[in-house]
Amino acid sequence: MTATRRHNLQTLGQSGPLMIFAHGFGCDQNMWRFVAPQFANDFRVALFDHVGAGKSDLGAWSAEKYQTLQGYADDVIEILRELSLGPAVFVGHSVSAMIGVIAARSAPDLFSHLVLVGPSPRYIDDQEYVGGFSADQIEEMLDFLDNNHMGWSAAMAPVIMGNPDQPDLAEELTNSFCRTDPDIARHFARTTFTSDNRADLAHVTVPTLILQCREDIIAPAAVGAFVQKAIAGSVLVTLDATGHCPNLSAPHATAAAIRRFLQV
Amino acid sequence: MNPESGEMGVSLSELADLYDHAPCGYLSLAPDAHIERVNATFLAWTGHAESDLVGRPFQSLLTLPGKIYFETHFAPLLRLQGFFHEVALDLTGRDGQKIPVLVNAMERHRADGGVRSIRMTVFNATDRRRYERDLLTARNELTAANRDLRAANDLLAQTNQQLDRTNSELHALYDTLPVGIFRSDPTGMIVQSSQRFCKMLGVTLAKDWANAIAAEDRAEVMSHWMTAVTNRVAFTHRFDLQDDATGQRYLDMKAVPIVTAAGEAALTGVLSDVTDEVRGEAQMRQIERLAAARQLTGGMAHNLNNILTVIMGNLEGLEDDLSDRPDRQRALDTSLKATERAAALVSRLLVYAGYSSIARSGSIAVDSALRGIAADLTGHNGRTHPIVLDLQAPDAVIDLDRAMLADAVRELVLNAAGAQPAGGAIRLSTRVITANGPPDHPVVIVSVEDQGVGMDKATLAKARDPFFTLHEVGRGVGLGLSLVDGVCRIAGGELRLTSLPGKGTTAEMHIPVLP
Repeated sequence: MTATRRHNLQTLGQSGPLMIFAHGFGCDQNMWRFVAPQFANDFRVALFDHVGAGKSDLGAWSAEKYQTLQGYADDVIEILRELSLGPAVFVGHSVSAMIGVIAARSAPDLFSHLVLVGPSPRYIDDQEYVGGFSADQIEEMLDFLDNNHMGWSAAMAPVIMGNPDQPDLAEELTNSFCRTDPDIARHFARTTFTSDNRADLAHVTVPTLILQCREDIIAPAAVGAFVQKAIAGSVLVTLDATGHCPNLSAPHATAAAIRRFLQV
Repeated sequence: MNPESGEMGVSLSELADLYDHAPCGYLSLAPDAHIERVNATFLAWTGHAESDLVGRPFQSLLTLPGKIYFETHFAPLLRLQGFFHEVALDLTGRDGQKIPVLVNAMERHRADGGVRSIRMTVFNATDRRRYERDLLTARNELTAANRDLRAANDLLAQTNQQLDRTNSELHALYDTLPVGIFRSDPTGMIVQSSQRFCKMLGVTLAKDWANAIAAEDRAEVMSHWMTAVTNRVAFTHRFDLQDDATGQRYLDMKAVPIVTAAGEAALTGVLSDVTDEVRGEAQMRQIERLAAARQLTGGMAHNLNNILTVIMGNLEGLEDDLSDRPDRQRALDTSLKATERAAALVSRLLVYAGYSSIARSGSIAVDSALRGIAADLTGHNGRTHPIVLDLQAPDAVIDLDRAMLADAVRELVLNAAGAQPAGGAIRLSTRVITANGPPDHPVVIVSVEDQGVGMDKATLAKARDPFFTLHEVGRGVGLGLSLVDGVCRIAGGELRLTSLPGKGTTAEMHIPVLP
């Protein structure tokens, strides 16, 4: 199976440089539905699902490969090589921001720009470094996921299934939105929240934009500042948005900041 | 219109009361999820004061895992589809206790499609969560039980596979064992057997095994069999079968008592072919017997020879002394002749015993020697029993004295003549074969064959023993075949006798040919 099939790759736009959007932990490429179309006139826009999320090929999932973010970064590289459309603008949200950093370090030729939305190279505090969580808190969260099928994962099921008021949307959501196998979700959560990719930041050589939300408990402002300092020449833009998903809560501000950065 | 009343005739205070004391928590959130308004029911459940909550982000009421999950899952879900239903969350109460709730949320949109606010209803789910926990526990237990069951099933399947394999191995063994196997039921009937059991006995059905017993013995053997079944003792029987293809066959049947699952006595055992062992033993006994006879004969003959030498010497001395006593001359002659006959007899015994120095004295061409011998014999027997010559070994030379060969052939011809009525032909033939033993070592076979009365097995076995004779007492001493046997052995060969009663006898002297 090709990488594009495996990752349910979708494209928008006919011409221009390649711009690829990567979703974070918890959802799938739908996260970009308010942002990505805004670039379809100027870019060939590509969207994909990580293996284990959305409509990706679950058969390709392997606990061993996806033990580290490198496994996900390798997928990104494979997709870009398969598309073979020249260096890409990589837009990664949340954990995918760091997946982009790792991929760009491994294969810098494939990337023209990195746009990191709510990045965090390490979620757990470490001496001077403030990640936003203590090790105990992260462990508590992962234990909670391990031990609580009903509380989180199963509670999702009725949500994404019935939606009599908006049947069209319901159909779409039923089939794709945020649907994740609970075991894979737990594994992804562990890989994400125990990662430490601070050392990769210094190796980023392509122009980089960091989009930081004003109020984000998952990637606090201090983390965004750390990333900006660590990547030479990077630009930090703080969006007037709360929560961890400006691509949903402030899609226009997000797109505008990216446009300014890319000068289009 | 009463300013205190709504359009539907409900007063605003009634509406406010409905809002505040609805049987569910009710929250209004700004688009960024900060709490703008909260009802009394929610405050009562959580213990928070209204002033503590207004202006705070809703997520701040959640436990840490809840915060993360809300940010990564439910907030996107709400934004993407405009609502969410029945999301399970844990709220943190004022005193820190966890309050399980189910939350519904819905975005309210402005005209331009942007989010104006979020409405949220919160239902206490303590009982439901307990029920869910019970379900989860039950499911985990079921999963564990299923796992155990699967493991047990796997083990069972594995054991079954091993049993199948063992069974088929046993079956293969059962049918390929070089013995027949059988088992009786408590009535003594053989109800189970390997294929070989029936095949060896030449019966179609194992229960008919007794048909293989000689008719005259059958009743007695069956009586032993039933005694063994009843008394729970071992049973043995040796079958003596005449097989057209392979000749005589001996089968040993050995059974031991067993107790069936039902506690009844039965017999089980094996049937083995002991023909080779029986034949080997018989041959061994024969060899030992012959060796003993030769040793005894040789010893006796040797001593007798010494005694005869003394008697002969003395008789010859007496001959001189009694030259003047013609009245004693006759007695002396008789004594001398008798002594000479005894010496001839003893020399034959020595030949039988294998004292080769006496008989082995040169090399003779077999065929030409036999022509002369046959001519001499024809003078004696030719009129009653014609000798038919068929000499096919013109080049064969053997290490034997001619007189010895003549003696041996004469004995065989005399026996052949005695075995058949006058007119019966005696066939004297030679041929050379290459023996199997030493590589390419040729052997000449001198064969004397008659179509006379023949001998049965027992007679044949003893035919070459010294002083064994078929003739009535007084005719010959029974040293003929002993002599021939000795001559053959002296020449490095052997005497082979085959005979069938009523068909005739063939005597073959197998003698190695000199290179």
